[in-house]
Amino acid sequence: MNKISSSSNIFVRNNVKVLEGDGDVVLYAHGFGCNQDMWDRVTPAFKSSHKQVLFDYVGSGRSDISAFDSDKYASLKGYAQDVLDICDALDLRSGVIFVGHSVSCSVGILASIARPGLFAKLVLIGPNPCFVNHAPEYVGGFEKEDLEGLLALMDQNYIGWANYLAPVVSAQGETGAVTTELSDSFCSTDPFAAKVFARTTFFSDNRNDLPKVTVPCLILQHRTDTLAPVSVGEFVHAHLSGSTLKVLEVIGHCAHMSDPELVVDAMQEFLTLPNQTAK
Amino acid sequence: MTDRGGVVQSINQCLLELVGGVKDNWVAKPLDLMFPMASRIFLQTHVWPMLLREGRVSEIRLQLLSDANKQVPVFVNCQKSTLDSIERYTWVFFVSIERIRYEQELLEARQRAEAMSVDLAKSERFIRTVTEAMPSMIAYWDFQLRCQFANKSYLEWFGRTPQEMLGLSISTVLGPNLFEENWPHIQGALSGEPQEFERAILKPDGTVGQTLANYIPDFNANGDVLGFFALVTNISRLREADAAIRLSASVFEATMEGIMVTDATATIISVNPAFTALTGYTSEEIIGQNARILKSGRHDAAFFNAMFHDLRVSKLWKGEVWSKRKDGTIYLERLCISAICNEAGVAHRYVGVCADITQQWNKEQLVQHMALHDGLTDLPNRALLMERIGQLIAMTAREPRRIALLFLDLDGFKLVNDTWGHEIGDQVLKTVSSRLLSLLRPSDTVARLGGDEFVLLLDNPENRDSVAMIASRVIEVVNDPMNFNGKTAHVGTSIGIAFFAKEVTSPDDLLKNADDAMYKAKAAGKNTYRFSD
Repeated sequence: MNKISSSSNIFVRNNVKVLEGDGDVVLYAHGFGCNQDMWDRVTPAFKSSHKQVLFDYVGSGRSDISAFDSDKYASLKGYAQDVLDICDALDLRSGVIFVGHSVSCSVGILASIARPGLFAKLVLIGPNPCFVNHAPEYVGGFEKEDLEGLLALMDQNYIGWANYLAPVVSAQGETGAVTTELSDSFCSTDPFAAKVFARTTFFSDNRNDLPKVTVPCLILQHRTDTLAPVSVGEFVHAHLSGSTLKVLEVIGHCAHMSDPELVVDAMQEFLTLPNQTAK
Repeated sequence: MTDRGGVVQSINQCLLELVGGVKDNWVAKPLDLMFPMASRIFLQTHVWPMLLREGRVSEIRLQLLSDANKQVPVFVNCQKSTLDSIERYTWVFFVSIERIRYEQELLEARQRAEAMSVDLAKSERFIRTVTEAMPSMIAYWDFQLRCQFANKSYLEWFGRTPQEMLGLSISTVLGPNLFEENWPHIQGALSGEPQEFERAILKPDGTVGQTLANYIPDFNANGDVLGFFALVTNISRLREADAAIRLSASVFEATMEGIMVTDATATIISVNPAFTALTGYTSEEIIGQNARILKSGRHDAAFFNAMFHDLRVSKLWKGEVWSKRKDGTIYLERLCISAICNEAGVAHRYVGVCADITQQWNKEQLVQHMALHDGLTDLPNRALLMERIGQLIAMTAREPRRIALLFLDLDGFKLVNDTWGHEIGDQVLKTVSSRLLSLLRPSDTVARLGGDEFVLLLDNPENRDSVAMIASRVIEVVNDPMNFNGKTAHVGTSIGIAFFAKEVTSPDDLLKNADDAMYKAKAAGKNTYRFSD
């Protein structure tokens, strides 16, 4: 599955953008339903202090949809592999600061477990290692049935898309991906890839991966968040040894967009701390 | 209206009618509470990121939770406005039953179409998996003779990639020569007649493969030909095997050796023409019979037991066997039997290859006979005589026996020769020979040493007197006149008699003693006998 791709192929595949700057590398990973544009209220603050890397997962934003592989991306490890591919393509060996939103927090965690030496710090905005409830000990926030409703809603909203009603399911295609002329709505997410991403996001359970992380983590928890309640943030904090939990006075799930200054302040404070390995 | 965190700041009557409650129930509460969980996720993952970035969204499909706890599909528009640097988000919900129903129908149609095309893709993949797995070449040519389908084998044989193959014309794929050869079959298939033919194809790697091609016309409901399926099977190995079988068969048919194949129980299952010529049995007569039908009776059970033992141990037996033809005559064959084993290593066939060596055997017997017999009288010669004397002497070591040797020299033979010539002389010798034979037992030996000298070897005669009596009888019969075409010849004989005794150590001694005694008889006036002692 892991084809050896040249760097330029990776750059095209994941629509990699590098904001040049002096300092450590900050790699931003967007969440489900979004693309790299969601970071544009955060990146200006680090323009001079860091080299910043932005990208879209395959199937999101302006990535190369032809590289979408429904088997690979049925697991968060597939997305983590994208992150590692990008680091390799940029010849990044260590010191990377990973900033992930929502499901990308789990992606960053998996990438750091796979390559502990690559990452210096993880910033986790609204992490939820397991969205589905596992009563009684764990409340992720959702039941499995809610996902079916979400997929139906996604279908209903994609109806306005060009070609979405022309069911062009490629018969021979390995991926079976729907080739659709993408509009800019919903961050240019491909409908087929989005549904795969939705299932992967909401059915992944990475709770057991948390203790394996050896990199210092900053958890940015929204005060009121439907997708990642405070209790989940506390669970993550409890299982990530040496992590820092900071609750932002934000309602919603996208503090980096709704209240970017809070996120920037917290990041700057965390990034100026000396690098130390978690115990 | 909400703030950017989605906290309700005001709500109008129309929306309250949908979601229930009064204004105060909703103000300062999260907007999320109006929605079921799926819509909340969609709001957080899709709507808010866009709203926060772009300041507006329109025609978002969501479900509202009515006060009766029912889900009401709604369209949502939202617009950001900033007043006194405070952001406000104005949400407009509208219910469009007709449009929602229409869109739902569209969506269901799409889902049906998607499901169908997934099924189609599945069945196509299945068909492709099946055809790819086939060693045969499979292709479909439309009426314009453009390739619409070619499986992996087909592509490999013609050295094409799937991309370049589709749409390619059959003349390009086959090349001018093969296309010309196949043209009648192509025309036949396009006119609705299934075609079957064999063809040698030059492959891209330079090797030539033998193929069996089937062109099967494809008809539409009206019976018009749309194109044809080409099913081409590589039969190179089949043809090679055929050739090998034909070669084996022709060897089997043409060879000089008789060949007989039996099963494990020696039941004959195949014979060749040479076998029929040798035994007189046609294949119809002998197939199904047990091989024992050929037994001559000249070999004992031990002989066959040894044969079966060899076949078991070394899967091979070679030797000479006396067998019996259909007409009952006995012949000697040189036979080689090989056991053919099945996969389990058990002999399940025996192949016997045989040649008639009776004549050769006869010739050998004759040569052997001539070496030990006198050409004129066919009596044992000196060599055989000495051998027999030796045998008898050897037997005396086991049990005491008497051995008597009578040495005869004809009297008057020279005169017969001189008077009547050698031919009559030879007749005389032959007559003497047969007269001597008529006197003796089969266990005794009459030998001719050459010239007019004969020897009688008597095995265990009763006593000296009985030997003397025999000597007298011999003199008597030899003296009988002989008549040849009116010419009467007469000879006599002088006989020296010697017995085997302890001091006689060799056949030569015994012969010499008898010879000496014969001279005594001559000296005594001929036509008489003398003992050596």
